[in-house]
Amino acid sequence: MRYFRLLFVLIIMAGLTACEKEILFDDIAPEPLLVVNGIQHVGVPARLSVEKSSFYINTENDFRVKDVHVDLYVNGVFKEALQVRDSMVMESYWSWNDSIGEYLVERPKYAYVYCEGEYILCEGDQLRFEVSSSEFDEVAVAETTIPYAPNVISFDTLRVVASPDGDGLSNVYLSLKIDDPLGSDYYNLCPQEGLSHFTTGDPVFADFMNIVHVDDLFGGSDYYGRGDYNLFNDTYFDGSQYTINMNSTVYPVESYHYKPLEMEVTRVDYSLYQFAKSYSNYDYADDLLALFTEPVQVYSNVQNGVGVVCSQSRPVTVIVDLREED
Amino acid sequence: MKFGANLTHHTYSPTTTAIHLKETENGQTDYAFDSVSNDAHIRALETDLYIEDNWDISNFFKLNAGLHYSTFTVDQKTYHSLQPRLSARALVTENFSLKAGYAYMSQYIHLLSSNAISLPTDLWVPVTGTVVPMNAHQVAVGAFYDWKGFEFSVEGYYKKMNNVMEYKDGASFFSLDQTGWQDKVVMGDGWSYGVELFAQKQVGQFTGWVGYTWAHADRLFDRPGQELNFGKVFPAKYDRRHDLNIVLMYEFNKRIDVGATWIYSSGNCATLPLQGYHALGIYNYYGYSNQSVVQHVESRNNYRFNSYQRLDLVANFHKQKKHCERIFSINIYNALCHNNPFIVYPRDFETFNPQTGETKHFKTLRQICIFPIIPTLSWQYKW
Repeated sequence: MRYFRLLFVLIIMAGLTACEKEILFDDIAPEPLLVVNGIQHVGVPARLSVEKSSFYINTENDFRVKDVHVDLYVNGVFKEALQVRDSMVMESYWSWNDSIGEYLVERPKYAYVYCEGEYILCEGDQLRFEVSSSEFDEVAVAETTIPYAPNVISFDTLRVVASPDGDGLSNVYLSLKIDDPLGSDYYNLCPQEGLSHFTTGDPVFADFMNIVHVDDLFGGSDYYGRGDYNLFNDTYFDGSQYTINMNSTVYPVESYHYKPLEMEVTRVDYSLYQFAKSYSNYDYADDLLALFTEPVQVYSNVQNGVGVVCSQSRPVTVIVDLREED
Repeated sequence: MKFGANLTHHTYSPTTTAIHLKETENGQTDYAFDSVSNDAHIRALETDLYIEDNWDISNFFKLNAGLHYSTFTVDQKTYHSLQPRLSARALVTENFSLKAGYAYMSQYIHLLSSNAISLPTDLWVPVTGTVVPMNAHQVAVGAFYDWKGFEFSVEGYYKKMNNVMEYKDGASFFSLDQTGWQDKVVMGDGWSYGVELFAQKQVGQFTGWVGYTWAHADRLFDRPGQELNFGKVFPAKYDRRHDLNIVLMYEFNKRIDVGATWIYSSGNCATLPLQGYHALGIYNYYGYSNQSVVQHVESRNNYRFNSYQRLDLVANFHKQKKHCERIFSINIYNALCHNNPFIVYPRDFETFNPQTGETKHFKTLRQICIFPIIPTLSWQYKW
């Protein structure tokens, strides 16, 4: 009986015992990739940042890359070699000092290579960047075309309703009408002054319904949503006019804080749209359940490298002054 | 000639776990743990009709043809499928034959596999009003040789599949956002091909067989709005390049026989980001960059698990009773105690150097194996 009991315990131990071991990466360590990023704008020179990728288990993440050279081709013709300089990414955080109270602290986080040209970019320019470095055998290539400005037909207020919260604010319902050319086009709505807590349930924004941090991606968003990015494509209205309905919180016209309602409409290229969409999906999926979540591939349009080089048109600013409508 | 019919009523419960959050009026949050998530039971009715027949065209040539018709009614939608089958055998000599076959198949249930690096979380889900059946064309050709109780064969196959299913990027079978599984999947195409070698000894005290398969399976999801891997081909999760099975049995006498089975297969594929880089310009409201490192996924299913190996041993003791036969078996599962991967997960940890005061952060990948060795005993009674 004693032997059977011992045998039973051994069987249970064998069955319930799990083994854990560390997997060595020596055989699968990939070669670093050349990382090229940059958003190109009309009216300013071309700008890029160049780095390199880092292996998953590297403890010292050095993203700097040496001897960078960038050639810019415009409409198939060599235009210039971008000027290259080292730059620093600053990290900021709030700190407390008994004498002065809370203040913002800056400190260098890491260095990267910054490249800038002299040629002023124009609408319709087809750009091609060839990026090389002594650390890499292959030349990384990225292409983008500066979009033309969107054709905004009208920006109107539909109605203004006092806020039910009794806070003295108003809800304004707006419509924006654009004329879309044939072909795939991508747009961005960016509320500026006068608009706060901007929202829109229009189906054109369905692609980004579950997305967060898109506004932080390209800068400028504040607590009230000013500077938010609202990206959408023309799937619903390709080649025709389309009216987008939206609403926002505003101060009454008699209020000291009132400002005319200002919005920027920009056309972005395919790469910027796909990058924002994929990065937002990546950021959203990186939560507590990341272990059980399908990995997200962030969009890249750099051949022989990684990163995204994209562009957006000059913004079309539309303004509505509620005081003129009274 | 054979024919038949079949009627099946299915009730599917694609069980995933959801945590429902509800904010009460006083600002507190109530949690409700629901074991059957936003997906209600899916009920379906499947009917099958089949007919097949054999024709001996001559002593040399034999033909088998069949037709299978099925319907699947779910979500007030009915799918139809007519599936022909055809196989032929050419008896070149008394011992040597050539075979070929073709089949068109439809499948009303999908295997939904996670490509994340960690838990194996396969889920069987049915077709619905929006998720269409998978169908496939398969062809196979082979040569077979029998000789004095030995059988040898080599066979090649090719299978083309339409409407295979995968999770979208960023999707999880844990549903925290009130969307059902149908909103988390995309459909595409797949194909697989391979060669199988087989040898078997069926006579004598010592019997057994050896089977080796070289196989390749790929996926392509490039339909508009349903792209994965940016519309490029990637390996399927179960793309196991090599598969070797060896089964040996020795019968000492009518009372005692022993056996050994050795299984080897290449590891499954999974998606593992191997590199990180800074993504495009991420700035906060104050204009300062707060760039975080993006994990770069080169391709879906870019990582292959360690190979799977297992040796099983068995000894059977037969005893003829008055009215039945008793078989007492001693089995040892995974007798070599090989650590086959069950879960692979990333882990962050840090080390502190007291001399320099420096803390270093490390990432590593760890593998968990379960059931390293399992001895079992069994009794069977046959009458």
